[in-house]
Amino acid sequence: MNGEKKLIKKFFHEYFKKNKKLIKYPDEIERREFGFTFYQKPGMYRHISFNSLKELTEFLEWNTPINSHYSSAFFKNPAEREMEKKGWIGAEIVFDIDADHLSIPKDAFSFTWKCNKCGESGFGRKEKCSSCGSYSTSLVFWPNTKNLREAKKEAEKVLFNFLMEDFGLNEKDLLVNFSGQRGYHIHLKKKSFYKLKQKERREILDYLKGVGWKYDLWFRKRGEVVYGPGVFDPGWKGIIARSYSELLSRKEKLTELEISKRKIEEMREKSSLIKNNLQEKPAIWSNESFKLTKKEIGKIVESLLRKNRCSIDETVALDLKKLIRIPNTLHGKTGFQVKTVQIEDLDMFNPLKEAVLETDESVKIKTGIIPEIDLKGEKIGPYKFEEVEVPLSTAVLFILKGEAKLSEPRN
Amino acid sequence: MTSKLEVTSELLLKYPFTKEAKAILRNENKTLKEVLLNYPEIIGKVREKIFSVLHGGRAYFREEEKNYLDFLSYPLVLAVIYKVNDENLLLKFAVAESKRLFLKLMNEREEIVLKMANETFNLPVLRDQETNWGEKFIAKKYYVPMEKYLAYSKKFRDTSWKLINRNLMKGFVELNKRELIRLISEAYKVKIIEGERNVEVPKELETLVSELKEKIAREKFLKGAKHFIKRDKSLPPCIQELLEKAKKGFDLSHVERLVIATFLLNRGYDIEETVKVFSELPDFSEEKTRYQVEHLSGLKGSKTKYSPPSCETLKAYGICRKDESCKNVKHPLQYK
Ligand code: SF4
Ligand SMILES: [Zn+2]
Repeated sequence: MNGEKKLIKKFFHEYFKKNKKLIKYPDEIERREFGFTFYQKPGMYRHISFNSLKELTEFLEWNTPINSHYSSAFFKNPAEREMEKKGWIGAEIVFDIDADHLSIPKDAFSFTWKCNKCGESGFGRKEKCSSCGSYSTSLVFWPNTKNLREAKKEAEKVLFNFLMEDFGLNEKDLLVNFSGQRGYHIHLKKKSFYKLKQKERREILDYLKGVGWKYDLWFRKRGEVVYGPGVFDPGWKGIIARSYSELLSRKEKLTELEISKRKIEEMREKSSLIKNNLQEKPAIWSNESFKLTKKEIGKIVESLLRKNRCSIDETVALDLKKLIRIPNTLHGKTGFQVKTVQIEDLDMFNPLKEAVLETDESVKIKTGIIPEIDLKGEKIGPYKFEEVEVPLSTAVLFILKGEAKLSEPRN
Repeated sequence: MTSKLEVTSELLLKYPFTKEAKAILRNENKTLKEVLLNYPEIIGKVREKIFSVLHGGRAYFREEEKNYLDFLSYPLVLAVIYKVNDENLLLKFAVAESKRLFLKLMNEREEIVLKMANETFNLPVLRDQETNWGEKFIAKKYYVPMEKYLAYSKKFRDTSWKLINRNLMKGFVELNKRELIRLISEAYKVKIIEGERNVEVPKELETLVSELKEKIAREKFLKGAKHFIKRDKSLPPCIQELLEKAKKGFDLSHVERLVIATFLLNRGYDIEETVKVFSELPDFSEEKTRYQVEHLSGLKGSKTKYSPPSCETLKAYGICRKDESCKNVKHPLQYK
């Protein structure tokens, strides 16, 4: 066993040994399938089952998997390999919010690249090797405060605007986890949802993504007046009306609506009138004093839907037998905690502080290419083939990313 | 949610699938067997109902169920249909029943509707008498849990059922009366389709079960035959006409049958497909036809595979229908 492998194993082992109490999930453990990956071993070991949390935590302690997953589904026979024999009973719904899927500026990401052909590497995103010209390069994704903040905002939107407000779920129906690298998992744990199959889940997803609205079902014309969603309406209609009203209050933002400049100008002038109309029951979208065509209304709604919809990874939410990271285990590409966050603490939660393990130890390493990272409130790096001494958890991150080696062999 | 209700027996006769109706059946008549013993004429009733479902469900649909015999026949009809175990028949029955329930409930008292939703279909319904949406919008509103709504509305294609077009608040979806009843009827359909199928069928009804099974198998077989002829476009006009006749159930001569079979077999159709072509003939016997086709294919008897006659022979028999497409063709198998 090389030094790095020893170090990683020890790090994971110590964590699992000391933190057994943190592993409280999944519930109904004997109905779940588990899958694990191990350091420098290819492939996932799955179709594993446990009878108790104790069995699971002991397994974690002694086998030190670097990625630990459980099935969102409940099975009659979780250890069976074939789906038919497993016997699907139901499944939690898990929403995966990943910075990668959000439309955020590229500079909110930290990447380094490596050429698969000549081994050249560098900072940033590069598809073509600057040394040998090969297009076979691989990207290393690094934790970044900015995109994690965006992912958190998205998670909060999903939680507060949709799951808690529209779906009426409360804290005990929901479990929120930092995913360990670039986003959040929101588990929907309400039993009455477990039996929902793909089609129903697709409909939930469509709702969160703002898919399928129809003009005729939202708007009604009576003479010269067009009635539509108002700020007091529930569901998407209310979200759209409130969002519209908000833009009218911050007039410079009205350009977000993809309609003609002339119309936006008129909106600015008549903003208080339009806002008042949105508070009517039923709300008025167009009348003699402010006219909108059907086409203009359509464009406004579309723009507002785009602005307010959720970005959620579809495959995770739709897969009825998906394997999800076990809350409070560690992530194999960062060594960070897949930390459960209380909903009331989410606002203040900073994963690069709170999901990075506390260690007294420091380690001397030789680095590869590492961008600047904000870890535990301190700026670390950038490094380019340097020999440095860093906290153990930082060294673990660098080694797991394949960008560091120990300077000297350790025991 | 709903107040305790004095449920008249007339009401139960209308809804033989409800918990209370089932309880009455259990109390009064104990088992299906006893029902049959006391009312032997019910067998005819069951048979009639299922056949009307099988033929489009119209008759069954229109029928008014007020009498006791109809009420008693319900579990027997269901038992037979489950036993026949044909998805298509089950679906037809479920759809017909669901439509019927929709019409009944549209004229039903609200409290009955809500009670049934809750107790029989596990669909709790909240109601709201306020009409604070302006008089033109919504008269009366009902609310059902979104997860139930999703499960029961998933087969509905109309975009008005998409959640985004609904008022959804705190996990409840708003519905008007018509929509609520549509959802309940769908729940009934699902209940029939997903019901416990392991029901004992009394001996007296077993003949009906096998009769239905045979009938359905035969209809499927015929459907397959009709399907198959359409797909081949490279048929010479003579063969085309013969197949047309076969499809329409003409009584073909021996030679005509021989021509069709040998032609198809030589064109690579298998025994099964070839047999099906004759399934509409008035004297069709699957067994006999199969034997003859197998013989012609060389599987049986002489072990030689027969070819169809030449164009000249066909002309002599009056089977040829030569047209431009037959240019230079001396033998039907040359036709491309
Ligand atoms: S002419 Fe010959 S080939 Fe053409 S249709 Fe008649 S039999 Fe067939
Ligand atoms: Zn290179």
